[in-house]
Amino acid sequence: MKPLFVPLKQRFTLESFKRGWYRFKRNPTSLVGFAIVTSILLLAILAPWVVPYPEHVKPFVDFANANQPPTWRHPFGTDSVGRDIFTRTIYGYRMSLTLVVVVLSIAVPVGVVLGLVAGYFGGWIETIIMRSTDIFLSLPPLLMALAITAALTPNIFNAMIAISAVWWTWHARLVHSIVSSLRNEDFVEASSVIGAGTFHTLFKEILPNCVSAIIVKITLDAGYVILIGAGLSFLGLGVQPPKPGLGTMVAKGTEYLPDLWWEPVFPGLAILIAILGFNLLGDGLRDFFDVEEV
Amino acid sequence: MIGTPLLEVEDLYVYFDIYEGIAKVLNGINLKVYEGEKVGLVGETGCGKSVTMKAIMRILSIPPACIPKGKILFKDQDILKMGRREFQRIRGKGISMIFQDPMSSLNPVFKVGEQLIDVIRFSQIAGNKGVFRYLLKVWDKHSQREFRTKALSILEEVKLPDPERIFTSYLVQLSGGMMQRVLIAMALVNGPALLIADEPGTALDVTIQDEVLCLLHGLVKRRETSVLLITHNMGVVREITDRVYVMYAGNVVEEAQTKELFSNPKHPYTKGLLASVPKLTGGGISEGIKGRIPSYTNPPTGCRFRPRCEHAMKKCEMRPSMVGVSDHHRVHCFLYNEK
Amino acid sequence: MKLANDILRVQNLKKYFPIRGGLFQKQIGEVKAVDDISFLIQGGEIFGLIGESGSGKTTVGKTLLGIYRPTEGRIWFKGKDILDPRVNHSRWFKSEMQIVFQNPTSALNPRRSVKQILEVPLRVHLIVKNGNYEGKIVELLEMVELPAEYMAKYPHALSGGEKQRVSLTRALAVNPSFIILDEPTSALDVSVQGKIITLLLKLRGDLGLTYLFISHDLGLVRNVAARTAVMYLGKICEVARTQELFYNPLHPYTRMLLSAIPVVSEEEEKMRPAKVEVKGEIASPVNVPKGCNFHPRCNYEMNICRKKVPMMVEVHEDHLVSCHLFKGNYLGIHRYGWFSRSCKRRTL
Repeated sequence: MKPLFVPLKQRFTLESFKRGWYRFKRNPTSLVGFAIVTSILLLAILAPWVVPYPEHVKPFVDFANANQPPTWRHPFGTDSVGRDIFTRTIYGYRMSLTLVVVVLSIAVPVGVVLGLVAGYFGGWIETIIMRSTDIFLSLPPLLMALAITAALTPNIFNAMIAISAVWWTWHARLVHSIVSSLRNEDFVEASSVIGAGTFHTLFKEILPNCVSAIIVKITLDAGYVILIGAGLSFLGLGVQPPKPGLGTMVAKGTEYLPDLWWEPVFPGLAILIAILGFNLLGDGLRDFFDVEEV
Repeated sequence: MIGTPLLEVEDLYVYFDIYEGIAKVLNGINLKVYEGEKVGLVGETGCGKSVTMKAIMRILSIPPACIPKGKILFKDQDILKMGRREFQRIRGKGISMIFQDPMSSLNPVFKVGEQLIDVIRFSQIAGNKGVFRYLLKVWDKHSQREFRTKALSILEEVKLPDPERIFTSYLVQLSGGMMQRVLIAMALVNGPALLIADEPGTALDVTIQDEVLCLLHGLVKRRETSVLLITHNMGVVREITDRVYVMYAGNVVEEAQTKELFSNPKHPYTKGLLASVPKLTGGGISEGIKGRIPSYTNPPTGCRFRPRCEHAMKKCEMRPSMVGVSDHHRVHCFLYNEK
Repeated sequence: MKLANDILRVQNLKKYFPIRGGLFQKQIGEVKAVDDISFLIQGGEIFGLIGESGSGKTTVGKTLLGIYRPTEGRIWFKGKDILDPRVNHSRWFKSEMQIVFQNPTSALNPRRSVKQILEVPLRVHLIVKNGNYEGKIVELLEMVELPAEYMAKYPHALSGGEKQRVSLTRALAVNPSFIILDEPTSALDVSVQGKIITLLLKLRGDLGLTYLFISHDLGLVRNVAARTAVMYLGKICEVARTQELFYNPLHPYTRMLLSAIPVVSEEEEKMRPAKVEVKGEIASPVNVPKGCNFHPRCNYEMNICRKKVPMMVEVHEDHLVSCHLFKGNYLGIHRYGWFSRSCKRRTL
């Protein structure tokens, strides 16, 4: 057979990527979001090599330098025990992103599978799964997470468990609604008429159609998970001092407002920018995946 | 065909800015609708007839689309150059539209009667300044009654059984045929001079489509409204219209009186199209027209039908002009000479 | 009427869908999508099924395939009773009867390339032994006159006609003997339609296929089908050889349909029945009128039409009508074909 089939396939998916990028580019805010998120990701991954004072994230005190306002040496100033806030903010991002990755790695597969099963089979399976989702959704995620972390020892690990426990419901719901509407599409019927089994139909036919919505949701979720994580830390139930967590830093810093404003403000801004970036990127990704026909 | 036309599209070009480049969709369209006549604009998917219609109603989204050249004259005024508010007065009152699928053209969460009254009310208010004046009109009981009577009378005119009940129904309670009649009522209630109908009845069953088209025919005659009927169904065009324009790939390729076009088609595309329609008398299935519609980003030079035409000549690489082959029958093709 | 080599026999088929409502989702009504129909299809022929929306024609197709379970009735395919779950879930059945859907866009998974779509039937039915899917796919694409490069394309890059060809290829991949064509060209332009239909006719000749051609386009069915049935609200009103049906329509509904279609030539105007004043709306299959289901719209309505459901009678050879206006031999159907009950001739 002619060898040109393989390069054609690769050429094609590159083509669809290029078209998607074209649609993505059309909206300037998406590019802003993309820039923000990429920067945050890079900073977080390369943190140990990039930050000016890596030792400040370990237990460290330097009362001589405590409570310094922002200067060239300490762009975000120093906190009450003399640690560089800039360094700790970047590490805070690292912590938040770890939280996002762990939470979503648990919540997304669980939610997606449950949503697929509920949407495809219908009947009492659907009822059981979706009613459980309803129950979980009726409780505000922050409160649920609070309750769980308060019951167990407050630390970042338990915060992850807590948030995952409520997060799967959103994905289940999203996937369930997509699958319910796809269930009656001709190509799904065709799949069973051709003789393909249920597993194939669910995972190879229906799931690929949900992927774009799931990816957009994950991106938007990232911002929200960071916020909840910060919220938990702020209330003392997430990242425990002396570890650097954005919420924890804001919490400690508020005691010193308004004089030592730099302590809570910079971590707070960091949270804001992260959420903004993920939201803008998520919206842009929606355009990226949305295949329009002219 | 006397006097100035009610609607004249003069040398209209519309381009779209898309990923692949610039799609030169409309390539110099010329068409006229005179008062009291029914004109058909027929063509297949992708020929640009919807774009033409959207350009006339000014509902094209202007980035990606742009109109580098051309005029659309309604009652001798260029509507492309009008301000938004000025055109707002025309849209709905001077020119109104019926969309293709009645089930998605009406709002399902409001009663039919309310939507009809909205249409009547907007026509009275468009152009008036201010929210305050609008609210005053809404609350005015006397004008509410006036509107309601007007609405009920138009519902009767479109031969809906039990107009009172339809007035208070929601969309889901109506059948396809009834919805289409309601749409027609909404379009005609303000007595527009021109009605643009986009594939009316395509989404309906044949027997219902037949009724609806008859109704339209009768109403339009009585009210002396002009109609621009846009469709891909040759049969419908033959039954309803007085004059036809055939479009292909952004150009009008032939225009004639309906009877003349169907008995004596000249352009190779028109001939091919008519031959492709399977006939009730038998005769088998023709192979259709070979090839596909050209790419708009890289259209063929000259006549856009050239790649698919059996009679293509070297000359066809130049853009043909419209030649008149007989009374009111013009073709956009080098095969024919001016008579 | 003796049809010896029937490939499909349908006897008194009914498919009702329950409508549930109320707090406990009790059944409050039924949609009588298919209401007691019987017909035969001969091997190698194209059988046309005409009807408007609500007539049940698509439901018939899907019930034959096993997508819906019939409420009542029997269906025999190649002599086997296909209502038996052992048969209709079997791989044999799925490789014998296939379908091409109406909407080319929804029939193909937008996230799968043509190659991936076509691999599925090849893999499920073990048609390809040594993993050489590409070779077989190229062969299949050639059959429908698509170039091999199309394997890498995704559905949104294809035109309507090309998508339908891919749908057709998917159906052909399993080597079926019977294909249900559910409005295969309704979503396509007239100039593309001809190519697809010509292709379908050619394949039928080459591969010896039988088609059930479901459509609302009378002109198309006239030129494609050998025999045609007209459906209204779940019942068959008339069945005949296509030419006979179009030149000599008996049932008032058939006459109404023929007179309402917009035509493009004078000859067609002349050959069809005069314009019928259309009364009323199409009744919904939820609320089927008693007696003959067409009587509220019929200009020839008689007293008996409101009370009694008309039986299918053979008026001329091979021309069956279900209407109180006509008399002839009653026809019934069982496993071995049609049988006629000559007694009871009715008078008007």
